[in-house]
Amino acid sequence: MEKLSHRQLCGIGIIIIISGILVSGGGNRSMQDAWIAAGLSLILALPLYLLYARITALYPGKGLFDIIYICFGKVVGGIITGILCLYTLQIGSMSMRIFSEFNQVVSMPQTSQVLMLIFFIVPCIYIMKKGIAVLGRVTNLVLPVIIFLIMIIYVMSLKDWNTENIMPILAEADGRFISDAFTCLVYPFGEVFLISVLFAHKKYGKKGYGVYLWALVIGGGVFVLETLRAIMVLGTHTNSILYYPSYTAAGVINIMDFFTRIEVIVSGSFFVAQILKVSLCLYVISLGLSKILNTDSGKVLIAPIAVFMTALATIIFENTISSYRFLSVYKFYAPFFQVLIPFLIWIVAEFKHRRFVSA
Amino acid sequence: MIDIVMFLLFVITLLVCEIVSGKKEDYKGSLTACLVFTVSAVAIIVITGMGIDIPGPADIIASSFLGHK
Repeated sequence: MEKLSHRQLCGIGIIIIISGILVSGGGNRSMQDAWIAAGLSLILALPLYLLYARITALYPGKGLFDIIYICFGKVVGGIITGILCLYTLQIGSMSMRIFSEFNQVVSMPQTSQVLMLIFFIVPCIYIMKKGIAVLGRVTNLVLPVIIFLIMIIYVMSLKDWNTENIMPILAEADGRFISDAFTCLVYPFGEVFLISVLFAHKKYGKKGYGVYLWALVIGGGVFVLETLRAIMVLGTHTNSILYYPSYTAAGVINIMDFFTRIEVIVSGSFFVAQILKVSLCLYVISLGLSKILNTDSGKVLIAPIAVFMTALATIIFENTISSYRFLSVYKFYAPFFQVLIPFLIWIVAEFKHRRFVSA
Repeated sequence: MIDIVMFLLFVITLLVCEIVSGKKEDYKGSLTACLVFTVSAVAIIVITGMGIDIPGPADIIASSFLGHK
């Protein structure tokens, strides 16, 4: 079996977090407190990540789907795995559509989205056909570059910062930032449950807690800084009405009329991160389906799943506006997959593990 | 129409690649799933390409929570 190092798993977790926010930032509804909402969601994600880590720590060398089958048996385990596969299919399709919408809105308004999606999915199929170890190695290669570029943009935009833009802090007493914090918790933080599936490939050694915690610290840190940068540069009003504030905030950078149009770095990083995220989704679904179908050949399922995901991405949202409309609903039903099901798995896994230890 | 043609070309190319590179025994137990995914995908693209509106899962969920747009 192909193995993933501690660092590679952590990198994949960070990619899941930052891929969703590189162009859009977070917590736009809470105006000048959006960065506080992002920070609060980081804190709220901590117990969730400890829960995921505990589940994988109870069964070393097993992935989430293996643990589900151990805990619930073939029938109920198959149903839960199927539900999680459907949810992962939705995450993948949403990510693909967000990518194609972004491309169409900012750079290629006349190009067919189907064509963009086809070009997008081909590298994902190629990566996953080559195996999960390739995804780990690609992540290790591109993640430091993406984070370095984000930091460079951050430093370059310092001269455009206006600290007045985040004032007054917590002036709105309607608790809008708490609602935004929950939105940020489910997207992007909650989607990190996907890496629990990869723990079957984890090399023996350190426990999984470090993987989740480092992903949270680095990915969450980038998330908060990106949100803060967008507010500081654009101001609260502009930040709240734009669909891609982080991208626009990067476009403002102009250093001596020489370094301009920096936003292309943001869109490039977004593109690479989304490819890695969708590749992971493809792998998770193929692994889950091969478990349900009781077959070892998960790789042959990757191309058909990718084709279906592409078709689903064309209809999942009507347009960018409906994708944002959906986000206001997503925070209510995503916890079922991200919190409730893992919590149920943890209860049963803990019970079974204790009974095994005492026997 | 162009969307349907491009998508069919994509699916046929993938199919040829799979047939050339894959082994028959790999598909044991998963051939039906592969066919279901591929046929459903082609059906979605053909139907939407013909101008018939299929509501997406996300739109259905959003409408059921928030009411119609």
